[in-house]
Formats: sequence, structure tokens, C-alpha cells
Amino acid sequence: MTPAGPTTPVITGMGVVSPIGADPGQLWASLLEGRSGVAPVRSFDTSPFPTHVGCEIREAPLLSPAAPAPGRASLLAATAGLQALEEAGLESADLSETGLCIGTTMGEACWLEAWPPEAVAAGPAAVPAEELLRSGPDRVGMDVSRLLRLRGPVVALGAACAAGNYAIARATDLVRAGRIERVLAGGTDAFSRVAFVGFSRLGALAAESCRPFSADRDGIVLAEGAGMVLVEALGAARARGAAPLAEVAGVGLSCDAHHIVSPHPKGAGAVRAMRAALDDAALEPGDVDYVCAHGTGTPAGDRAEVAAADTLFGDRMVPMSSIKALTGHAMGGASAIEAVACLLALRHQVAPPTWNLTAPDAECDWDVVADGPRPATLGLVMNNAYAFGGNNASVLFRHPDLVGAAR
Amino acid sequence: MSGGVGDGLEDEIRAIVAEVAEIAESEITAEGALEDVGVDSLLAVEIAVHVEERYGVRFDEAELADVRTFGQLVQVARRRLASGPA
Amino acid sequence: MIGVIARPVHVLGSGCIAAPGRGPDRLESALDDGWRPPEVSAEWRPDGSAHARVAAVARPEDHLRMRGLRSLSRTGRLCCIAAADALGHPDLPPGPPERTAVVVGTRWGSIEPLVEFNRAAVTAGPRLVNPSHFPNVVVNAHAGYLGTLFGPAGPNLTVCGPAAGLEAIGQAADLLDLARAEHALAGGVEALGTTVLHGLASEGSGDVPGEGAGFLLLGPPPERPGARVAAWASETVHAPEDLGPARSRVLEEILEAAGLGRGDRTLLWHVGEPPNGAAAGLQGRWLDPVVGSCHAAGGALAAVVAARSATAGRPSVAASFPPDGTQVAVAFVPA
Repeated sequence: MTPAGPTTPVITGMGVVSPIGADPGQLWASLLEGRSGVAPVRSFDTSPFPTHVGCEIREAPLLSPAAPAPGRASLLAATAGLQALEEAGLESADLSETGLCIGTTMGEACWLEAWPPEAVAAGPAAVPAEELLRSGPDRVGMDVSRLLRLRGPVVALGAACAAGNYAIARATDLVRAGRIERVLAGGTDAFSRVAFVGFSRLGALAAESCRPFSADRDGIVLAEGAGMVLVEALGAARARGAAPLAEVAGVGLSCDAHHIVSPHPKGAGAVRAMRAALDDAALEPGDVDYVCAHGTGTPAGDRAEVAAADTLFGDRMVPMSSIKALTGHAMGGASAIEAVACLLALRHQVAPPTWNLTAPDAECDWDVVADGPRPATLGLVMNNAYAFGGNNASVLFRHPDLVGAAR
Repeated sequence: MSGGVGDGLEDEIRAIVAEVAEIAESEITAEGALEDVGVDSLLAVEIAVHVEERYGVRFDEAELADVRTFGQLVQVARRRLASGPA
Repeated sequence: MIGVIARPVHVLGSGCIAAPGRGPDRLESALDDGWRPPEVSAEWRPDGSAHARVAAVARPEDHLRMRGLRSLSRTGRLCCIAAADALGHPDLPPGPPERTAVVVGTRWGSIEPLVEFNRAAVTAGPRLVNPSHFPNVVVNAHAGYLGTLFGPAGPNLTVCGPAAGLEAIGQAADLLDLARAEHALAGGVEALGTTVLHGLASEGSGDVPGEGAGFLLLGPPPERPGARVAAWASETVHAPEDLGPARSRVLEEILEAAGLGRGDRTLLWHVGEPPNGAAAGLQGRWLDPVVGSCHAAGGALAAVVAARSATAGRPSVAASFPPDGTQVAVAFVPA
């Protein structure tokens, strides 16, 4: 039994930039109203492809920093990061002790995607030399840090479509172990033609829309976006009068060790990550009130996810919804955006629905909150993410009124 | 079935499957499931891409969806070649 | 930032591949003998490349015959060679798979596959790209393949940056310290290629580009304890003028956190510029002349030799001092 202590990790700020909202308030309104970010792709010509839709951020007011211009993934993350710092009351503070832990899939692909075709074909000597080594995720970390004037430790993680949860998990461990007092953590990815090509070639892109758990679902809608949360030690937050939005009650990580892109068909690795998060929190499956699913809309992925939920929760159908029906799949930003959705669910005591459920699927027989926004008593919510490489990550957020509740 | 390009096609596709699956050509039988020799969904797409590239054809997803065996793969490829590039 | 490792996190095995060859014995004798990478052969001199020397691994495909390596990038393949040795492959690794973590550090890890995949899509069209090459463009693919090929099924992370090999070892020690796993395969990897070589040439540092991989297997005390991870220390540099002070702080912090003093024969194995003054009193062994400038791999290679010298009785610090970004040190002490 571990009651809350000075290093209990809590969230004191959040920010998000998404195709369906340029801040948490807008995101929440869209999730309740069913406003989708799916539209014909504008950033490149999709005529060579069988599908033509994506979720691009069109109208968000992004930071406009002085030169040198950062890449788009960095810009999205910094914009969301500033919201989190502002909500936490830290935007003018001395940030020399504030860390940054950020996750992405590839880093910044924007530089190389802008190279003209003839230069691409000619080879490295034909493209701007300073862009050759600029794409690494560590550059995203340093650029976001520079944009936000953070001067603490910077950690850059690659965890594909689970990157946001992985970053939050590392931040949580650092704070809980007393290694640092606060870390801005999250994930980001910009809309990428390389990703579009890859997923298209795998047959994983939906034709028209993202329909998680639906019988006629046909794949992901590629998206972009960033989510950032400030993970802070409870003692430090209280000392400066900051109110927690939630406690990070537990995190769990696992690897399928099954296949480089296909999930374990029964979601065995996913079950282990969820159990590990619950064990970390000294809690039981029965304590979970809502699950924010990975729910990408692929036939195999959604099926495996429901199988995992069935294994963990048994007969008790914990409401589980996927917001990717509206946001699309923002890759490294996805689980971070979904973390913000979890925090908003706790704040408003409403489980966001799974939109676009056109027909229930017998293989996805679960309460996926298909009936619209559902008011509920939410004390503990779980955020799940599953990625290429079989990387699984689950994060548990607990309502601030329950911080350090007896276990 | 007639010989000529048909037989060469089967040999070439067998070589592609063997290389992608990292197995000996002798392990590939007409009726055996490709999955049983380690051809998962990702490698199956890779094999299809190599065949498309080699012969300048384009398969539909639909015609590949039911391919389980090497024999079926060769049949689909033969049909596609006979009907010209997609 | 400092991490003192309270639980006993021991080094159970190690593996490496670098320009001098494969295995820690080969690496140590290359360091002892003053081995230097040869002048670059035609294979490694792409058009316009200005490098006179390249510390490249000769024919990685000759190492580690196993099924399933075909789709891997050069980075992934180097990872597997070193990781296999650390795990004692083909013997089964110790401990239940779901309690074995993987942490891989890399800086360039997916740049070549990303550039190449983009090139194929642009020149041949998106339909004729090889789908098996797509996973390699995401930087955690290499760690993912370690899972699928060797079985560890615990937390699986990839850390990015020039010191990420040592960051990975520090994060792995934390995972064990926090009981998120019982064993961990941790290390770093870098691979050379046309894009990386051109990029480095344009940076004009004059460093000899290197590649390789180093991995440690960490876990509970073995029957015959050798070395354990005592602590890690890291400082991220945000302005050039802070580089020297940050390196000094990292050294001060690691020595204090590990309970080591300068006067007790502590060895410092490092990649990157030897820190002026701050290393006074420490016997320093600089790896770059032997393995080239290979960022995350270099730090991991330093850790391999540091762990061995700690096993032999001398406390040792492995440190990465890149020209920018995060500076990291990990301390190994005799168990």
C-alpha cells in the first residue's frame, strides 16, 4: 500500500493540436459533436494511390518562431507544449529544471519529402546537405526544447504509434523515482507522404473513413498531430499551488515479440501491458471505468484489441471507445492526443463515443460507446497504444480527487 | 497447360518465393500453404510486388486475397499475364 | 539528471561489432594495439564523399546466419549481431521473456531506410516500393526485430540521440531498478550509408565516420558476479558555451553518484572529445581513433569495455561526449 507522496506523478497541464481541434477545448467539443478531420489530402498528389483521404491540420494557429524554421512535427509539439505549460502556470517560469520527453515514429520526414523528384533520384549530392541528417527524432527533441525555452534534460524516444504513451511512461518513472520534478511529455508526427506510401502498400489505408470496431472497417486514415502533458511531482505541484488534472496511477509496457507489423491475434502482449499498468498502480481490472482504445480501424488490429479486453475484463464490458474515428491516426502523436482525451473525460465525467460505427461486428462484441457521449462516473481511465514492432503501452489516469486513494 | 512462358513463370515465381521466405525451392509445393513455409501477410505483399515488377503487371487486391498456396499464386499470375497489364 | 541504481543490476553478458571486428576481445585488443581503420575502399567512397578513412564493419552479412534477417536494414543487422552475442544466442536467454526488456539507442538509426524508401517511392512509384522495407523507416523497428527474432517480450524502447547508447543502458538499468523487468538487453547502434556519409562530409568535422553496435545483458546477480551498474548521469546542452561545463558536471555527478573518487584508479572509457581538465586524475581511454565517430554505438562500445574492466576489478565509467545534445556517463563497479 503506497499512499500519495511527494513524488507521486500528477498531470498539471495539457495541450493538443489535432485535425479536430487546436486546443483541448476544441478537441473535446469535436469529440462530443462527431466533427471529423477526414478530408481529401492536400499536401501532396494522391492520384497514384488507391485512396485519397487523410486528416491534416488546416486551421490551427501554430507557433511562428524565428529562423531557423523547425520541422512540422516539432512545431506541432511545441504549440501543444506551450498550451500545457500555460495551463500549468509555467509559461514565464524558469524552465531550467523542466525536462522534455518526446516520442515520434520517424522524426521529421518533412525535409526529405520536400526534395524535388529529380534531386531524390540523383542522390545525396543533389539535395541540401544540411537536410541530410536533420530528420532524427533527437532533433525534434532539441528543436521543441529550443522553441519552448526549456533548458532541462531532453529525451527523444522512438516508439512508432505508441510513442506518446512511451514518453509519458518514461516521464512518470523519472518523476516517481525522484530523478526530476517535472517533465513535459508527449508525442508528435506530421502528415507524411512516406507513411502514406507505406501504409497504402500494406493495404492498411481506409478508402473513405475510419470506422473502428465496425463490421465494414477497412483500415486507418492517416493523420498528424501532437499531444503534450506536464508530468509533475505532487509535492512540487502543491508547493507552487498548481492543481493536478489527474494522477498517473500506473504505466505498463510490453512487446508482442510476434511480428514486426501485425499484432498478436489474441492481443496477448496488449493484455500484459494492461496488467502491468494495473499492477503498477496496485489496482484491479474492476477498477477501470473507461478505456481509450488504440482502435485504428484495421480489421486485425481492432479484433485483437477486443480479444485483449475480453481476456482482461472478462464479462464486465468496460466502455471502450476509439477517437481515431474523428482524429484519424496521428502516428506518434496519437496516444498523446488520446491521453489528453482521457484527461478531458475525467474532467467532464463523460466517455467520448466511437463515431462511425456503421454495423456492429460479432468479432468486436464490446461496449464501444456507440450510442453517443456517455455521462459516467469516471475515477480511473486507461489509455492504450499498440505499435509497429509489437510495442504496447498502457497508461492509467486517476481523477484528481482520488490522488493517492488507498489501494 | 502448355509449356513455354508458363513454365518459366512458375520457376521464376518459385525463385522469388524461396528468396523472400529464405527457404529452399524444394520446400515449396503446389498445394502446401504458403503460410506454412513462413510467408506471412507482409512477405506475401512483398512477393506480389516482385512479381508485378518483374512482369509489369498489377494485381487487384481481390484476386490476391484468396491466394493461400503457391499453385494458386502461379495461377493468378498466369491469368493476369494472359489478360495483359492491369 | 542522475540515476543511482539501488537494486543490484549486473552485467551478465556483452556483445559488439565494430570496425576492428566482432566481440569484446577483438575490441579490447584493437584498443591495446593501437589499431586504426584502413583507408576507405571504393565500396565506401560514394560520389563526392570526402572521407579519407571510414571505420566500417566489413561484410556484416557474414555474421549471424539465421532466418529472418533479410528484411532488416544495415542498422537492424548490426544490432542483431551484437545482441545475439550478448544474449548467448543460440542458447535461450535467461529469465522469462515477458520480464526481459529491450532498450536500443541510435542517432542515425532510420535515416538511410527513410531516404531509400522515399527514393523508391518517388522514382519507381508508390506501388512498387518493397513493403518489407517500410517498417525500417520507423526508428523502433530495430528494437522490434530484436523482440521478434530473439524473443524478449518485456518493455521495448528506442532512445534517439548522439549519446543514446549510454542513455539506453541507463534507462534499462532504471527499468530493472523499478522492477519493470528482471533482465534487459541494452545498447546502441549506428550504421553508415550514402546519406549519412554525405551528411557527415558536409558537416566538415574531419572526424572519421564509424559504425557498429554494442549490447549488454543486464540482470540479477549471476553465480559469479563480475560488474554491476552503479549509476548514470546525463546533461543536455542547450547552448554551445555550456558544452564544457556540462561535460564536467556529468563527470562530477557520475563519480559522486557511484561513490567513486578520482584517486582510486577509476578508468574512463569515452567517445567524443576528451573533456579538458574535468578528467584530470582519471585514466582515460578514448575509443574514437579505433571505432570512428559512431555516436550511440560508440557509447555502447565504451560500456562494453568499461563493464569488462569493472569485472576485472577496476571501477570504470563509460561516457559519451558528443559535440551537442545530451552528454551521458554510466558507471560500472566490481560486484
